[in-house]
Amino acid sequence: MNRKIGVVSIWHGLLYIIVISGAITMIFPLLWLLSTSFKTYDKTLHWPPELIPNPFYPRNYADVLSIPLFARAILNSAIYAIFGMLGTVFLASLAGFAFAKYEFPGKNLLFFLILSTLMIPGQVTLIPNFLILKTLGWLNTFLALIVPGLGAPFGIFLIRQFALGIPSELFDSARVDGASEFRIYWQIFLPLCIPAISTLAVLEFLGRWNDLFWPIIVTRTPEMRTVQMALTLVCRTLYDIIWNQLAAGMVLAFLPVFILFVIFQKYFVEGIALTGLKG
Amino acid sequence: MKESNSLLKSLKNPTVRAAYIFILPSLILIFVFRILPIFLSIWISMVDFSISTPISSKFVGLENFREAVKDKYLWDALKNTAEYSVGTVIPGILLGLIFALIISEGWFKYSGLIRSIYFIPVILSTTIAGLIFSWLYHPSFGLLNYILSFFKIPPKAWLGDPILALPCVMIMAVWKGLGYNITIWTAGLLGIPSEYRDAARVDGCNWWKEFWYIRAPLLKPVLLFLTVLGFINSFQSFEAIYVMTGGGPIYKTRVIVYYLWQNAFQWLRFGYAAAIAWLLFLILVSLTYFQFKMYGKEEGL
Repeated sequence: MNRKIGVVSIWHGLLYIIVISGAITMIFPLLWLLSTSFKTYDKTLHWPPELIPNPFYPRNYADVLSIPLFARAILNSAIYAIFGMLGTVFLASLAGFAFAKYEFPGKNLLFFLILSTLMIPGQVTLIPNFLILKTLGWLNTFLALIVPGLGAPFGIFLIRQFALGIPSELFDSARVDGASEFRIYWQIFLPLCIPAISTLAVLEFLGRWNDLFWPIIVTRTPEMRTVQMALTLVCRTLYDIIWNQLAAGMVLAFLPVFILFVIFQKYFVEGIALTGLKG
Repeated sequence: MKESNSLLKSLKNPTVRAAYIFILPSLILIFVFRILPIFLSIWISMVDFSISTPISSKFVGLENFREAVKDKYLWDALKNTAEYSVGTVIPGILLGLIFALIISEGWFKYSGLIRSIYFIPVILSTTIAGLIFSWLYHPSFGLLNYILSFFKIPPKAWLGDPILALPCVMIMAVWKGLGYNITIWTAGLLGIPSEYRDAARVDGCNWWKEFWYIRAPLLKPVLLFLTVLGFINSFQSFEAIYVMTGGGPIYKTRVIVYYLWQNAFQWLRFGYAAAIAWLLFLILVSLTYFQFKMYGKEEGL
């Protein structure tokens, strides 16, 4: 009997070791990034590499932020991510609410039409969208970054599915009391919808903050670069990268996402689980 | 006539009018940026596109597609994409299952914390992940060469090596995506009622038999979800390659979307790039169809 328990605990111990080494593998590249961000330039070229930076050199953070285009890029990303997220959540929740709780001619057809656009990969619409934005004269502006993403079929779907579970009586009684339709949406529907809206908001923010592809397509001048773009371009000499500065830039670029993740973990996991990964 | 009359009549109804107003902004945006572009894209793929005067672009029919089928570089890119996808999706799913099986066992403590840690690379941008790994892979000062020096393995130029570069990017992608796979597998595993396992145990099944005959069949939809989504996403990857290798060395890591992007935005061959986009769409549709078919066969549908 004791022997059996012994075998079981050896197994369990072994499995713990596997999972913990996996967790270390997950974390280690990030720790290495953090370590590099506090090194002097000489120490990044030092052999053997050191895990604990000596001397400890936090100046990298000030240095990278003092690159005007990098600071600007953080601001650009914040504008792109925050306004894109707010706009998408607002429009998708309005439409999702209408599709779930209203009856109107053409409802099913329109909903089907909206959903069916999800089957078309972004590469197919990429070139026409670029040309549409060019024709509108929006290239290299925030309009080009933000507006095309505001019509969000998946967001509408997500909100609608959630809204279907809210009893219609709540809205009907408000209507009887003489509330306008927009007020019903704003004061009754939105508060009830917070779980779905939070999931969508996190997803929309993260997608834009981390986005590289779309900003590459629609921005032209250095002043319009987003932070992910900037990371691929700043802190470079002709031959190599100034890794300690770039590492500080990467830590700064990841920090907002990491803080949000710690606070809203549930919504991150839910949202990403629903939509999958992009790379 | 009658229909438009009833539409007009219903527009007099304030709730119907409100509903139309609520969906209108989304509808316009989706039409302009998602539906109209589909048709424009068909047209662009069939012309020799002229940037200066798009309207007078010369119609060439299926010429762009014909060129694509004969384009050796496109086939190379397709091969790289397939290798990259198989090499990231399948190891990611298998590793994800192994870790999910361990941490979803009742005796495993701190499984929530462990899952959060594995999830951190998922929220990292591909740009940052790619740059961190480029630094780890650095030929002169990278940590990887340093660690391997303890095992007497000579330093390599990882991302500069035509054979090693693509697998190096794949390792980054598996690392970044593992937490996602674990999360989905864990959700699937926790969805199976524990009575099933208990009954199998009472009947004398060992762990492996119980897993293979009781839980594995119930997890097939999860497997389908992960493979379908995994292949759709990895066939469209661009950022990892853009950041880590730029398609090199000697085009050995150039994937389809990277080649498409080069054609469109570096060489301004919009017509040809649109044709590649449609071919990619066809590949994605057939891959997905094929996976559902395999799944249906397994299920005896």
